[in-house]
Amino acid sequence: MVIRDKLNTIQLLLALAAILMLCVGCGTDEESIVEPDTTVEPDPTMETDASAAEPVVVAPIDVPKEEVEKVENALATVRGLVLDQVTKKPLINVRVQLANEAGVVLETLTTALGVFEFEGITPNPKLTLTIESDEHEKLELPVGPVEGGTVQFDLQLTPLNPDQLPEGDGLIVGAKAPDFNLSDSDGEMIALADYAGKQKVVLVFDRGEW
Amino acid sequence: MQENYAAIQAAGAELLGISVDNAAQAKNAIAKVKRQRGVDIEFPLLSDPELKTIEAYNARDPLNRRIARPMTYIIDEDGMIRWKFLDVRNGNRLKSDRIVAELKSL
Repeated sequence: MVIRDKLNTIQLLLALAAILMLCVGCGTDEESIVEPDTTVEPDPTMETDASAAEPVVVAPIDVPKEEVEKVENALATVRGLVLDQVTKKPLINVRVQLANEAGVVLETLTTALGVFEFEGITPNPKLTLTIESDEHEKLELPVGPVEGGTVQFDLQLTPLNPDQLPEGDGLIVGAKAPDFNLSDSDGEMIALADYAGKQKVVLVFDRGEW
Repeated sequence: MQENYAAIQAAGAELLGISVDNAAQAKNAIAKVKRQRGVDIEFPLLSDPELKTIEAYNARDPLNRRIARPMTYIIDEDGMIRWKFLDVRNGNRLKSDRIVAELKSL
């Protein structure tokens, strides 16, 4: 009985060793020729070899998968919705560009729902989104740091020639700038007309954030 | 803004700030910038406490109608609006070097 058990064990080990050799043989090209006949006399050493060998077969399949997932997770999606600022309706077939600092530009058109999407964007701190429509003011904005995941934008384009924009949306580009005559913090009066024909004026509406 | 004031002037423009603050409040704002950033505001801060100019430029903040919504215009020598930037409410604040770039491109 004891002898038969031992024989069975040896047969089992031989079988395992044979499988191991096959797997090693098919897995790699160069290291497959690992002394094929030394396994004829396997005893305690083979046992450890056989148990250690199993993950070797599995490993080459698993590791790249994880790496691929890591890379995929690091890539970002930049998407958005483009509406008309006055009608609040989606803008269809509007050209959307995503550019990086190096001037590499991706381009797409908005769908019938006014949606655009750029997938597989490499992480980048400086991306610029440009939206252009024939009937609207061109909109250009920084995307900000992109570090994987999805960045969502809700954008509204200003129509080129509306009579009146919604409250707080300012005046349209191309309009005549209303004149003003206001005092500065030293009590000196300053009018827009002071600069007419001489200088451009950068007019900043804000409070405290100068 | 102050950090790019010289560059804005070099690009052929004057920089004017407008808010509802009166002269005393504007002086406080100037002192606060000095404390926080160590910078002296050198461009004029105009007072529009009655929001007349703010109203004329459709700059009244719909969420707080007593103040202006942050926005920036470039007005050319002929008094025409040539560029506009609306600060978006998700924190997309205008950076003043952008103004310099726009001035140069006009």
